[in-house]
Amino acid sequence: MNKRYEQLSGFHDDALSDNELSDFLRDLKQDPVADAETVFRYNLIGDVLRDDVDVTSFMDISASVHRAIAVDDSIESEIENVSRSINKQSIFASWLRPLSGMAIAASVAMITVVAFRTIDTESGVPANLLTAETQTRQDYIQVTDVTPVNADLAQQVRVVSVNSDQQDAALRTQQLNEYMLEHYAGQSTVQGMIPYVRVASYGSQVNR
Amino acid sequence: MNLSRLFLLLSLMFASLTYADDVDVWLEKMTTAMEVNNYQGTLIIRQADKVDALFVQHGIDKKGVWESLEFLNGESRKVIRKQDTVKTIFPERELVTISHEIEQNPFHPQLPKNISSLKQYYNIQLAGQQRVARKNAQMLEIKPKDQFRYGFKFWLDIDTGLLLKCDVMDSNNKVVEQLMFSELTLLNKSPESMLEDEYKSFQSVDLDAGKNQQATSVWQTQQLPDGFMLVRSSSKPSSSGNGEVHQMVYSDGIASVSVFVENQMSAQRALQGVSKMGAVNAFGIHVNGHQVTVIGEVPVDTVRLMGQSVRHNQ
Repeated sequence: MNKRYEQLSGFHDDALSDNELSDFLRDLKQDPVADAETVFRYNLIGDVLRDDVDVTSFMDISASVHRAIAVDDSIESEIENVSRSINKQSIFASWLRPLSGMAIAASVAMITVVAFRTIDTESGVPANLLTAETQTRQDYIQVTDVTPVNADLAQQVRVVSVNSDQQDAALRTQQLNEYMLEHYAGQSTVQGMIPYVRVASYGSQVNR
Repeated sequence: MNLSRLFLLLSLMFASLTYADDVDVWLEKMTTAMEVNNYQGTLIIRQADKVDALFVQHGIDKKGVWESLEFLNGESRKVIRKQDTVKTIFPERELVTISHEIEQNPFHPQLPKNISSLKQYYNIQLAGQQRVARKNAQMLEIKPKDQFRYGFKFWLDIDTGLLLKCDVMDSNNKVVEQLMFSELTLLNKSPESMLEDEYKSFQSVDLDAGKNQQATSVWQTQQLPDGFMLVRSSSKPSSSGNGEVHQMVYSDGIASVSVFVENQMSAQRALQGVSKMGAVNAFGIHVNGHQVTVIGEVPVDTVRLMGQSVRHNQ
């Protein structure tokens, strides 16, 4: 684990001394995006280890995640680090081993960008695990393309299953995203700017 | 009842009233925080297996409140909200899309006047204090009283009331969407916004072209969860050249759901069944030769209930 990860880990755990905190804050401006993502990843892994996050949405990429583990040792380091942190909080260590797979899935999930995705919410089964027979149901299944952000992991992440009528899925995704923009563009609820964050999130689909 | 018991009862009643007042005070503080503070920071949003980072700027100038959200990963894009206009700028494509809000509302228009209404459908209470983005934050829990809406946890900056973190929770208390400032800086004056000259030469697309903001729909959603009301109805030409698309927006003050109805579209474009993205669920169904699509940040049961009850008024 490099020095920056140690700093971020310490920051996340409130374990930095005054001098270390000063150094950390000074360096923060150099790459705030990467640092923000790393802090978030620590939080995410922590949430998963505490069973405080819906992991079902990560299931469909679990196969590719296991392949990706080998090329990203830092993930293992983060798992160990967060596990130590949680141990300090008196969580039973025996829980950690079976859950660590989920944490890895969550961590690698973060590096993928997935568009609006149709799933079978009745069964909760991800599309790539469904048989052709299952797909004849009215609430049928569709998975859109998955775009890896990290080129180093591209080959591994690309193994996420995409079914045969991918073009239809893209059209459906485009239609949903148009609706999404309409829905949130005129939004005014108690949630403040959150709807606009969603607009921004879906904005990349416009006029593709 | 002796005097000591009466005193105890009155004390408990007073404490309860004070607690409710505290909740109201924090909700009002959150409401006004975005109208009086200038700030910028990095916001992380997690929706299902998708995580994005945004640079947020929020300012108050002579023309009013404005806000910009700039994506830091992936394709460069920026959303600028100023007065009643929302512009999304795609520098690489030299494209600007423009949409308009119906009303020039503050950022939390449903509050504080509808706090009592919200309490009919949500239990709202203060929780503990935690540290978020190097600031001390007061937690506020908003739990739904039925299964038709999500719960929320807000972390509000103790000094300013600004929203530092938000979790959207399902009925099992699982986080389905999360937003969090990883760092936030308060500013003495409005930050420099993107100059319009920078994107003046870009192609401009008005998403509201031909939109009738006051359209009366011949469609009706017959089953709504308690508290949801029709807040807006509009129509505009379909982007796919498929006649008109009608939109009806329903809200309970926190959550909102849109029902879209347009002529039967191709099977390739039409959603049948459910789809989800983080806290947002969608449901599609054919009704009377039309495609009905329901979208909102509510559980799947809600979009399904509403979608299956859409009828054409004869």
